[in-house]
Amino acid sequence: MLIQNAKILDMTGNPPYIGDIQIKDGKIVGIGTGLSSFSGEEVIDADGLWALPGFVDAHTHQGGFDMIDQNGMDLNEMTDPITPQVRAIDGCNPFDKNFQSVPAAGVTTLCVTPGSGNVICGQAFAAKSYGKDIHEMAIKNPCALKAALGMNPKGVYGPKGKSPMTRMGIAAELDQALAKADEYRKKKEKAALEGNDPPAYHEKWEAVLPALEGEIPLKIHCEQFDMLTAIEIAKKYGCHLTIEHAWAAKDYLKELAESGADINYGPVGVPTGYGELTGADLKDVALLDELGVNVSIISDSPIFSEDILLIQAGEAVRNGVSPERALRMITINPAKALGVEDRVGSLEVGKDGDVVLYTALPVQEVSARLRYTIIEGQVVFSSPERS
Amino acid sequence: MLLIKNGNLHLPGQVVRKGDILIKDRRILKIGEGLKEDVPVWDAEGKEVFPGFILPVTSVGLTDYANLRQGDSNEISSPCNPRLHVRYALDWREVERQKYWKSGITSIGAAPAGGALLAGQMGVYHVAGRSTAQMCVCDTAALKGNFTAEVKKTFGEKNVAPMTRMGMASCLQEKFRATKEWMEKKDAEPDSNHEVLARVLKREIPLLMNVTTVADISAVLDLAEEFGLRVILNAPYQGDVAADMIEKSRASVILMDLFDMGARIWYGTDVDRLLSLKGKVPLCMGCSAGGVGRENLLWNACRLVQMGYKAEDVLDLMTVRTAEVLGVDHLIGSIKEGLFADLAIYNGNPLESFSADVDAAIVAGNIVYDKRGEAVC
Repeated sequence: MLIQNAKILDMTGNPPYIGDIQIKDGKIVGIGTGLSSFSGEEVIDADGLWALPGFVDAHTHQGGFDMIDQNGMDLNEMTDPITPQVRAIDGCNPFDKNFQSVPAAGVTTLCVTPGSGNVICGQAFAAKSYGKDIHEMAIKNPCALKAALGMNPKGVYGPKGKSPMTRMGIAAELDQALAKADEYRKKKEKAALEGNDPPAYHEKWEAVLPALEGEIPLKIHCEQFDMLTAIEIAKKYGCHLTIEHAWAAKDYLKELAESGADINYGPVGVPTGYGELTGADLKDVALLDELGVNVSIISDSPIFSEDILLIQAGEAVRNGVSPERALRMITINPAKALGVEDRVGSLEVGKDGDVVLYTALPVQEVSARLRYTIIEGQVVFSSPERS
Repeated sequence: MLLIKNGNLHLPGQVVRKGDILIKDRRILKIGEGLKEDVPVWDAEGKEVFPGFILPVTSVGLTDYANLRQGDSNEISSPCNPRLHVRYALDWREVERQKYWKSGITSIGAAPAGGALLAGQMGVYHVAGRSTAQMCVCDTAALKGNFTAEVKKTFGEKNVAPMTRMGMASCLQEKFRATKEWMEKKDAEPDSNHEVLARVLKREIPLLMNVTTVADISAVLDLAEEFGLRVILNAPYQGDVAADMIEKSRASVILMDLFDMGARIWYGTDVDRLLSLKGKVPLCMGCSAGGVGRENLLWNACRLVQMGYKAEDVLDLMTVRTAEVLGVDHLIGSIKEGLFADLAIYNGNPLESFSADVDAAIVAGNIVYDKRGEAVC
């Protein structure tokens, strides 16, 4: 496929320029000016259109949270506060209507994560937003081990009179699980070194190993001062951390910047209450970005529909973030947070041919329309030209 | 008194460059060009001055976020409680905490939530003020009801009627019939529930019903026809399919939230078809009644602009049209002499550019937010 004469914003730091993008076998093979088409190649005339990398959403429950039909809740296994062994990919239906609406929102890569009902909730994965077989669509599985602090796990177990009933209980449960998994890891290592039999296979602690070994991050749902708990516990076990939601991050800027955590912020557009329900404000992403923190904006779809990702990036612009920086927060930054920046998040030779074409810069002009969503060189969404 | 000088005024049907607005006693006294008065001046040169946006239906303010389990928005002790009034539950501090003005919103329709069939009387209130009396735009704008699955769930699970949509419809018919009889009786005992339903039957106030499916819509419209009620349909997710029916009935429509719970996508609502009712029946933008923040109304509006609707038309759908639907267009919703001075002053048009932000908000003549000097409220 050849996309011709687009205004390209490649998200590598280059200013926008008019040029062409060539995609072959799903990968970008050329990007620049004056590319010529191979014979028989599909050509998209993108004159007057902006070409951006397909958006990346670092936190969704698409395909596993059916908010209308309660039979469709498949990403919260709320029977045990510690369930690292469950995998979101096993609860994700790409034929769910909301999942199928994702390409029309310009999103080409999404992370599907278990919900926050448990302290350790299960394994998240990253996938392309179009296809029939979720295993073929997945590009990294697992991409994170999801955990949750605060009112979600409290609200699930507290009313049953079970631990965790308080934030104290949550911290203790998380710490204990990681300690046990770490013990298991050490036993395994020792056995391997000494040539002895490994400890009996433990399905829970096996699932925690990639996080302890730094292959994937702990993806922890937290707001307010729970962020400090997350930082402390992740540090204790040497885990990389992504902080999910992060409302009121402005109160902990120094600690967040020092922690090296990625921040997956949002969604905002929630009422202001007390405690945990305060400080959801996209001004925070401007402050974090200025400090050099890798900050992304997330939709939490389908709790809000996927369209909210781009609109929140627009809201970040309203809060003083430049359009280019705001776009980073829904492209290359989440790609880094998910550990898939080798494939998606920017337009570069060798990366996947995931491109969105808009009639104007969509984080700037409200009326910008999505004309094409292209995943690995295939048009998966298009809308007609409008006079 | 206050004089807004040299703003681009978004007046009904036109934009006036370099216009002035003179505010006195909470109202707009005069609109013109080159007005001279010896009063404090707010220089709006280069600014876009909009009528304050209106969030039509919300339970924020009635929810009690400090004690969510015992909020004040959802009395479900019985299915029909028309005598209840939001006036006694609206916590001004909870409203104030939302900082609605930072998203251009100056008024809200405060309504009981979704559990009961007839949930209580709703009002329209300003977003600033230290009592419902101070905030009041229109104390009783409608009787709020719900003809949705949530009602079935609330009562059916307790084995109490209504357990089905049949039950919901017959329960409503029974209530309105009983009130009619009560009205005809010479020496009827005073009854606070009948008094409210009598106002609905006399068309003094409309019945604002949450509805979802075509079945909900047709049942409510049927009831409205039988008893001659004025009806506002809130969040009709299958209103696209029922558009002809709605047009014939002349019922008003408040759009669903376009994002909330992915529900619009789940129902596959054809928003264009629903919006084709614009101009045929009173219709305005909506926003989820439950847990959404100050940003969502404007986001819904932005989404319509993304879909190809003109910014000025969408602006109407969150100001003057909303006021019409709620029956308060003689009080709010336009920049017009005599109306409340409710203004959202932006440094650009937020329906055109995401860079545009609120510089100041004026609620009933008071500057409640001013970026130049930060919050005033």
